[in-house]
Amino acid sequence: MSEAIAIRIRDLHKTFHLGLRRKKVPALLGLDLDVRAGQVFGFLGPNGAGKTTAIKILIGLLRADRGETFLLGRPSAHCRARARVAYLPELPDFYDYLRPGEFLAHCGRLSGLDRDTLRARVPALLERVGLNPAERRPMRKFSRGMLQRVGIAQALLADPELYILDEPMGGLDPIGRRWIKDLLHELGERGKTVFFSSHVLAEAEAVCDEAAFLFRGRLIAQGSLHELLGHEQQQAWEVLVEGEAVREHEAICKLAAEVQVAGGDTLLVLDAEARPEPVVTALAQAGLRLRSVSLRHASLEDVFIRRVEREG
Amino acid sequence: MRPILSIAATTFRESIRNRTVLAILVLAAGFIASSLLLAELALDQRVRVLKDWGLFCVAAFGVGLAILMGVNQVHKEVRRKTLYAVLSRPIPRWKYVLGKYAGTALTLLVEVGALAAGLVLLLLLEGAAPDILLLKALLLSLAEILLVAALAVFFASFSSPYLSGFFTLGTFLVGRSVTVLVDLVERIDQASVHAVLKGLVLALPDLVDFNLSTQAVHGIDTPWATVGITALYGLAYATGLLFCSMWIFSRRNLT
Repeated sequence: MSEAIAIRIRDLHKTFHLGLRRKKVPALLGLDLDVRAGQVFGFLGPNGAGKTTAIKILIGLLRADRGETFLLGRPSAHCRARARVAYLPELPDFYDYLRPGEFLAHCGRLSGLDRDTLRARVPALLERVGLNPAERRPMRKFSRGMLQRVGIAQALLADPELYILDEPMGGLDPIGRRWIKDLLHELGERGKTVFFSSHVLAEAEAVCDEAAFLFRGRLIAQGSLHELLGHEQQQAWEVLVEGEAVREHEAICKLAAEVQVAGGDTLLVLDAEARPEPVVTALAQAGLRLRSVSLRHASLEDVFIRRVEREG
Repeated sequence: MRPILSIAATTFRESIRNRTVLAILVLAAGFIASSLLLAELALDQRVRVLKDWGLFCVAAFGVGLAILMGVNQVHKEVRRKTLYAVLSRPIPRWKYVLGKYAGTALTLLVEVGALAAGLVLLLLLEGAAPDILLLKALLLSLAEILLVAALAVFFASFSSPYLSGFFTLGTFLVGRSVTVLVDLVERIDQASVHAVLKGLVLALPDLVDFNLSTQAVHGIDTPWATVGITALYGLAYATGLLFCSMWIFSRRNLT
């Protein structure tokens, strides 16, 4: 296996059996995925798509029913495969009565870091994640956002090659989410592989080089952002008109694919192939005031929704 | 070895600071101290009452704490995903189970030690020097508590907290009455049923010999050899349980 592939998943199947009647709930239905080393890779999809299940199998917390998974070239079921890997669980929780420094030192010892390295790295990490004012506090007194920062710190601790982050922006405020985005950028620039899951596609779009869409346990698309957005006819002109009077002009409205009222003004979204000039001329003739004309690029969210609609 | 020690130290640190466990420990100390009131009713048998009630409290609260901690340690970490940060590192799961048990055992050792020290202090206040019989009774009580903790970890490796607690308590109570069960089984005439039930009884932990409170109270000596063999039996049984727990936990899906 090439070392350039950081994560390889082949024909991964997992079905949960719930309740006394062992009701079958399929979570993954033959997932195939390759993540190249050095990428910031978004593993995207709605809640219940199977993202966390796939990640848990990669980390060795769950056993697959069928299929193979590799981390940095090693079968992920072997604990040694996790030697150069860091993992952040979704909405993590930690020991109530430990202080963050004690917890990080514990994690470092489990990762094989020596005492001197820990002595230098733990305080520096606490400062980096902004938790040094709370370093004497037991973690049961931490907010959701603070716990997420502890989770990030434990992932950064051993400076691994591969980061697997399950919903890293979960539970964070806008400042925290911005901080995570910057961190993902920075890790990407340092040549680390970052594999992160998210159901908030708009935020994922801002940080990933490549993405895969998971829906009902199946991969429905994978590629670089450019490929994913380029494959769709994603561009459309938007004409913003002052007030709502334009809605009374049926002829103008017919030129648009969509008419939306936004903040007291009216937004005319044109078909992907349509040009805005006829609309602008018609507005001028009707004596309506134009606010702006802009070319809208489809977002990952638009692409994802179209793909899901196509899947039925 | 380092990961096991780190998990044990973290478990110990977390448990010893846990307020629920501390509250139970304070309650246990209060119960042991209440033997002074009971002793008032005993006239010239004050020291016997102190020993009897004190040993009972040490065993009862020790077993209670062993069940509470043994059952909750793993379940709580699975439910709150705390162990994900541990198991996502390059350590096999059996080391996690062993470290958890070692940390629990160390906590129980300190807590039972504190209760035993309280009992000894009460006896000294009464002017009765603690004797070797009391020491033997306390040692086997501790061995029994550690065996119960291993039972709790074993049941917790595959069942829910309530079921694990119920199974552990049930096994402890049955284990304390194994001689009665053996007598009952011996009365069964049908050979096949007799063999099956005898096998089941043999598989249960025999905890009868771990209770030396009667001997300690009435001054009946128990040879060190007997104490040693009973402690070794407990160690062997707990080791077997831990091996089973590690095997089961290594195969478990952590959802």
